[in-house]
Amino acid sequence: MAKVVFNKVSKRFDAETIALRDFSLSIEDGEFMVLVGPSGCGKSTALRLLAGLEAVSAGEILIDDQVINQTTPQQRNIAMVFQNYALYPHMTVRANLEFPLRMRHTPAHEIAAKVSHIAEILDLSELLERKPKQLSGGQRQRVAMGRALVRDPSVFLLDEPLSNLDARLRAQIRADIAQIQQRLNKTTLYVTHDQVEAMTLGDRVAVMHAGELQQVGTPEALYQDPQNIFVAKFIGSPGMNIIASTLISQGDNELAVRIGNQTIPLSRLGQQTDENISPYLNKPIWIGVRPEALSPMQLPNRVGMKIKIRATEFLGHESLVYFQIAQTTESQANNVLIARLTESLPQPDKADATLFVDPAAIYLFNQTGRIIHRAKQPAAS
Amino acid sequence: MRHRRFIISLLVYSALLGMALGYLLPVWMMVAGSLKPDAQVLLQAGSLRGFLPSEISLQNYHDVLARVPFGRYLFNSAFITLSIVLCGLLVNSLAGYALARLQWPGRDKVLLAVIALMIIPLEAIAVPLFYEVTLLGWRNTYLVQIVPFIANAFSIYLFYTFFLGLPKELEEAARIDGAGMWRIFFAIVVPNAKPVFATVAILTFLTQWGSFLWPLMVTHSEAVRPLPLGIAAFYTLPPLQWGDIFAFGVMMVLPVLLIFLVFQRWFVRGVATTGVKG
Repeated sequence: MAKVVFNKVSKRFDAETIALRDFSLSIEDGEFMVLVGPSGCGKSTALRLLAGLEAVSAGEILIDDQVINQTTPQQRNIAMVFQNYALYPHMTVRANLEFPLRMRHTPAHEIAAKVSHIAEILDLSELLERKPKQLSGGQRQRVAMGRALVRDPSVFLLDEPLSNLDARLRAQIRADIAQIQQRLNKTTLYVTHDQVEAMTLGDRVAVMHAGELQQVGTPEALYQDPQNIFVAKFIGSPGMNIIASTLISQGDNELAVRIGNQTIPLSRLGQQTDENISPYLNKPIWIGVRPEALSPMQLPNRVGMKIKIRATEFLGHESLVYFQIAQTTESQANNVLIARLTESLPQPDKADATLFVDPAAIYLFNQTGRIIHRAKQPAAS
Repeated sequence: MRHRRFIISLLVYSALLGMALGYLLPVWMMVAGSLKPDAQVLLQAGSLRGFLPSEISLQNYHDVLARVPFGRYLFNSAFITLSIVLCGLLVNSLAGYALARLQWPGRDKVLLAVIALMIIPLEAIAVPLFYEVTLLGWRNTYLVQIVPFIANAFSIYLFYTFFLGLPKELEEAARIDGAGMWRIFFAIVVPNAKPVFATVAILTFLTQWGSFLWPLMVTHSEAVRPLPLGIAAFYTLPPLQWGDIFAFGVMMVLPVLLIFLVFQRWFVRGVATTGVKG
């Protein structure tokens, strides 16, 4: 049981390479925290710093209010599952599971009891005398988890543990991991580049980009209330559509956004929001629309947007429509957007179509990518 | 067409066979000569009969055992060579590991020095080394034949390249599991580096078993001299008997041949692995 705190932690490999910059994150006791981001964003570095495999360049890491910067990995009582599992190839599954206990001079009868207990939990009892190379990917995965859990660590680290598995096995083991974590209630830090894993597993998710923390929150909060364009595009499957536009005022002082030659009125934003975004009037901004907020059905509260369809992927219960905004500038035309539709288009064979969106489902971001207006009804369809 | 291909094959195989014979014949002549009465060895050496033992006799082998303390030479060679191999495996693997994995100031320069040392032959440093061991008072001992050959640049380099190729995560996992540096090396790294240990062991054994110049310089008594000096004794010990020399040669080569056959599997795999990784 442990609470982990990163306090303004930086990691610099050399003068040019800064892997992690002023990283602050608090992981509560028993919490399942997922670090997610594209490769090279510093998420694995954060994990390795916590494990003690790399030294912190600046800032401090605390476990249960104790600064651990100077302690060795052995002293931290942290367990880790590696991406390639790192099972000792010359040892049997049993010897692999016993190794961390032996290193801690656990009495022999206790070792035997703990190994058989963990083998039972992870369904490894039949495999104890095999060598790692005689196991399937999923079985190796479970042995790696077992080796990490067998000595009852205070913090449990997983570094992209599912990326070497095929899709079906990945879904199954993802569920297993969630179940084991709930059962053992261990403070867990899980690193992945896959936002689906992050959203399904994490109590909270920390999104990282270019060595910096972008946003921390529950999966719902990240989806509904992204703080910047990076998070908006990264979270969601597919991520949010981001379109260059200009904020204008029309008619009755009503705000609207102009995309190329099309104008979308932003009615009913509320007075507070109007005040917040009025400084951006007549300036370029970004608008964000979730693929699932778009629909081919016209309803009274929805406004239309003329589009050109580039491609359609039929997925069974839904279709992904790749499109561009019609009547727009050249730079805009290269921006391929995605709509996730459950209803079919009225004229599926024609490239020209109209998609409808509730203005309440539109996000607005300023030029630097910070959010200036959050949708009231995300994903209205 | 088929005919032409047959002729080409015939020519190629004949050439290959000729080359193989060229390498095999001296060894064959040694074995054949060792089994002939001594008087016939020189007599038949000029003709093809030199390669065929006319009357098989083990007299030469008896002579070798009677004329020189063969057992003593064999023990000395085995003791010196095995000491160098075992100490060398320990020292050179640790050095290779330190170069491949540990962080310490000056590491890159030491690595460069190791690579540079590989091209310096013993003959170039034999005389200064001779002065050094004389100053230490080590002459005519086992020590002087063992210590200078334990650390070996080529062995260090072989270990270094192999360790670079081992997945780092294994060692990191062991660190997190609570193992210290020595434990990681002996419990995790060494068991996964068997091929390179076998390669270095065999290469060191082959080099040291035939070592001649250095023992000749620093030893003078039979008590510590190895086999290659024993065979040399026959050239200075009248009468000069080629049959005995051949028999001694066979007896000297046999242990090497046996070791090679037993460890061949490891040897081939080791060379292949270091080749790929290096």
